[in-house]
Amino acid sequence: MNLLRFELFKIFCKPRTYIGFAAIAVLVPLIQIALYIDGQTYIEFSLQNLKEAFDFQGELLNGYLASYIILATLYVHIPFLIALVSGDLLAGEAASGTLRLLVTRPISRTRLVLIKFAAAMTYTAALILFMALASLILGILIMGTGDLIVIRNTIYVFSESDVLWRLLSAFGFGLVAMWCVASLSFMFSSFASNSIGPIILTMTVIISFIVISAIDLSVFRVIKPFLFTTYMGSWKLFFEEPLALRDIWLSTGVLGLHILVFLTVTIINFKRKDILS
Amino acid sequence: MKRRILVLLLSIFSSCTLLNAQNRDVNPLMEDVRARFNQVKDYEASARIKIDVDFLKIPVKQGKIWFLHPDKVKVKAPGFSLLPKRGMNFSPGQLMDAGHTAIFVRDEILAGNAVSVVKIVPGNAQSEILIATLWIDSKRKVVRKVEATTRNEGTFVMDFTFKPIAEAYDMPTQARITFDIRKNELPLGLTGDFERAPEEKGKKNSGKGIVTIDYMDYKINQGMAAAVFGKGR
Repeated sequence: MNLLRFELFKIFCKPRTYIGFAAIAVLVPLIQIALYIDGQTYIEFSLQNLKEAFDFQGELLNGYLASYIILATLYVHIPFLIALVSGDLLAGEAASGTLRLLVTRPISRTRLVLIKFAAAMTYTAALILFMALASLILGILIMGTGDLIVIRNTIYVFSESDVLWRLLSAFGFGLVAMWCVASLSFMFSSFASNSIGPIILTMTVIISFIVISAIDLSVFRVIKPFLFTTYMGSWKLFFEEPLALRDIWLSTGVLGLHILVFLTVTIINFKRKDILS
Repeated sequence: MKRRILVLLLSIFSSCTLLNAQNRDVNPLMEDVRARFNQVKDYEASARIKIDVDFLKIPVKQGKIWFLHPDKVKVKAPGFSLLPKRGMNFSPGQLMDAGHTAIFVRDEILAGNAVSVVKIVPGNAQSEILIATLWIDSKRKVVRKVEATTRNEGTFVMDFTFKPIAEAYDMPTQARITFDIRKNELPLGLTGDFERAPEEKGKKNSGKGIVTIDYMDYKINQGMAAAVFGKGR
């Protein structure tokens, strides 16, 4: 526990750790204020076709919708902020020459990896929690609460009382997805001797996988189920009715399995590694 | 020879029946319906609104509905709700304007009630409704069903349910509005959601929407709607 605390202390002593928090602290209020000013036009544009057939009663612009939009928009960009820290955990030590010193301590390499991994997971959780709280609290303060409209192939309107648990669950699922990203960059970090490589590699993998998932070609459709990015967007399943529990559990399981595989590869690689720097 | 005479007699009989039907004067019946409708100057009622559209999932809403003679309707429900533009503001008064043409079509039984089917062409050339068919309960003098074709908004059907025994104003306990939904009325999308959920296999859009409104606790002619719509409007 002390080692974990020490590892977290090291993380939070580095300026790069605060880049993620700062980005969220700037972006979330910016999106919220922009939505408050121009959100109604944005919603009306999105629903303009529907207005031909229906009269709308009541307000759609509220803190819940803002949080949903933030979650939908940022989940592509948050991995970079996470890789920035988790990709540095082992490679950063190697780059600064402290890794050799670290492994001379009376602690097994597996335990060392596990502690650093736990620190990466804690940092990720803190970042997502900050994002969830910032978007929800600020959104509710600025725009209040209300029913939530979600438009996919079907339009779902959720009652105000039915929204908060869905948003919190979605953020919870988002956390699992981001843990997967953190594990990936942590794994790359174990192979590298400077942190730039793991960060860029993580983002390259994520962007490539997302592009492959987005292009609807038969070849890519075969590959798609094997890409972990396919399951990262499953937080949206919390905004369907009836709730696709089986698919949510499947996605959580697949992401969990990826985390386990990435961690195992990291441990195996780190145990075998010749630490020369 | 016998067969020819039989066919001739049957033809004469059916022609007479049809001619009689076409000639039946439905204006007194229409006047009765209009008079009954005109009794209600305004009302407030609790409403339970259920929307059934293929691409729309919205919880059942409880709210209030106000009507102000001749054709103003306002609905308020907590949160957000969608109400069809087609049929919500319908009133028989719209059809029975000066110069309208009412043609008796036939008598039939609709959900256990004897009704007269009447086709109406509004007299006003600018009327939004081009043609309508009314199923009028000739005993209770109420409209039980309407099928209307509009100038810009397709066709809608309204089915009304009433209490088994007629009351003073005989207001419906339920209105079921079925309306067309055109393909171009599907929404564009919201939330920067780049991934679209895959279309469910075998799921087809019926192109129809149904809104069911259950009315409760009518407060009729108590001037409550006037405040909602604002004086002088």
